[in-house]
Amino acid sequence: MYKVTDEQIDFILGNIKANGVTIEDLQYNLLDHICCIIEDEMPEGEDFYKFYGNIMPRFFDKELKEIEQETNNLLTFKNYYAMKNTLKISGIISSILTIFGAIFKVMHWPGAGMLIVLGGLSFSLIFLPLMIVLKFKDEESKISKWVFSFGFLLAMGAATGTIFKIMHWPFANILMLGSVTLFVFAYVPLYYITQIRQAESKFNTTINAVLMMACGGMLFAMFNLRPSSALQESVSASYTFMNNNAMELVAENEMLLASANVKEEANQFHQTSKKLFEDIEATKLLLISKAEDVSQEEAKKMTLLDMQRANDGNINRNNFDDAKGEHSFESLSKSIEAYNAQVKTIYPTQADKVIAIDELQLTNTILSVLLHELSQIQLQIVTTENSYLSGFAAKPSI
Amino acid sequence: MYICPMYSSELIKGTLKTIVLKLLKEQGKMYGYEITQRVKELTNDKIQITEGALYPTLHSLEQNGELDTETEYMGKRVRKYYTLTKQGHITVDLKVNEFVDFMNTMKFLLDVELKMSNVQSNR
Repeated sequence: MYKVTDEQIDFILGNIKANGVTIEDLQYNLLDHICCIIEDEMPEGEDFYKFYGNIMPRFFDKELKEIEQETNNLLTFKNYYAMKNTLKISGIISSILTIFGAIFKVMHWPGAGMLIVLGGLSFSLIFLPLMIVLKFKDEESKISKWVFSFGFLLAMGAATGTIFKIMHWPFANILMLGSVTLFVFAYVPLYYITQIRQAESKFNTTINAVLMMACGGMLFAMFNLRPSSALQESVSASYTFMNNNAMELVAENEMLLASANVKEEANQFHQTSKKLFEDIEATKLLLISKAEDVSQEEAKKMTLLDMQRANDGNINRNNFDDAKGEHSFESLSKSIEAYNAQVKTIYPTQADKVIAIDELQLTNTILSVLLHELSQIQLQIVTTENSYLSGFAAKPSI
Repeated sequence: MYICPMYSSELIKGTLKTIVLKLLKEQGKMYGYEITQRVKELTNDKIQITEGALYPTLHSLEQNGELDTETEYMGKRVRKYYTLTKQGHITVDLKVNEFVDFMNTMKFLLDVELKMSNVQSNR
């Protein structure tokens, strides 16, 4: 019987590797198999290399790599049908959850957020990734593979962004805006250019591209949507009106204090009120100057309408809600508590004079709402002080 | 990829796993070349398993936990022997039963068709 030499073994192994088989197990399996064939079937006196050349075509149709590809296919896509089933089920579940979530949201029923988040998560984290994997397996053309996968990736970004937006999680805007922008300006043109070449689906490609462009474009247009301008004007006017009222009362309180009837204890409460009022004023100016990147002097003159970032929540989240020390929510709460304690000694029976900080929307909101609430507190402070000082002024002096 | 002088490749395609598992159940442990030779021998050359189909199937059966392997070093060569795992033993019976059932169904189905075509040709 012929015996394959070590040298020939090296040759065969080298040849297997050179032909693109990279799985080590498979290399050794093939090596042993080829050696067996040679030792078993090679006729006496036949040249080794010639015989080797003759038997190799047994292993493949076109090239040896096919064995490796087939192995990989079986290993990777053994779950192909399970994946297709999961795709269907996750698709149906996400649709149902999202539709019910939307209905619940419109009707203001509880559980809407939960339904939408679950639907969106199963859509963006199960359905779309599976779509990408399956598209890669099914799609024949290499370009289409990448184009479709790119589209699904953007869809994942947009869906995740929407969930983040609804749940007020960070990075929502960048996710949504980034995905939708890329979708409208990169994916749709790319899709159109690559797919229009296929004559049989030309019509469908055009319709799909137009639909995607229209939907994506509308979504894109809604991004910078603000409340109507009439509403904004009215909110801004009421804010200014409130501030002006507060300033008038401040001036009046100074006059009352200056009158001779006011005693030492009144002066004490005036000092507390004044300090809290000025604290809040400083906080407001700080936030406006930070948001608009202007000096405090300029901030003083700004109305809500002048502000570019009045509907932004990040400025107050970073500089007020979560901040520490002076001009933070924490320090303001403490000052208000101290103020309330003093109010309670003066008006033991009138609970409405106390500033109910729990009922105000001070944190987790947009800047304009916070400014509004702060002004309201200021107005209450000066009103309370005014009625207190007036009480002294009405008493005849002794 | 499936070279088989007697049967079309579509016919063999779905049965390769069953053939391999059943052979291993009877023979205990075998290596790749041995499997192809044994099948050839048993079927009088009617079924010839090609390497291009055999090794991918062996690898996927191994990954699915149906097969265990033992390696034998012979100088520079490495020979991989395949044996059935516990799970593999269960799968063989399932596969063989399924296939017998399939054959009976096919027989019945084709028998009926045969009769009908006979009836038509008799007219």
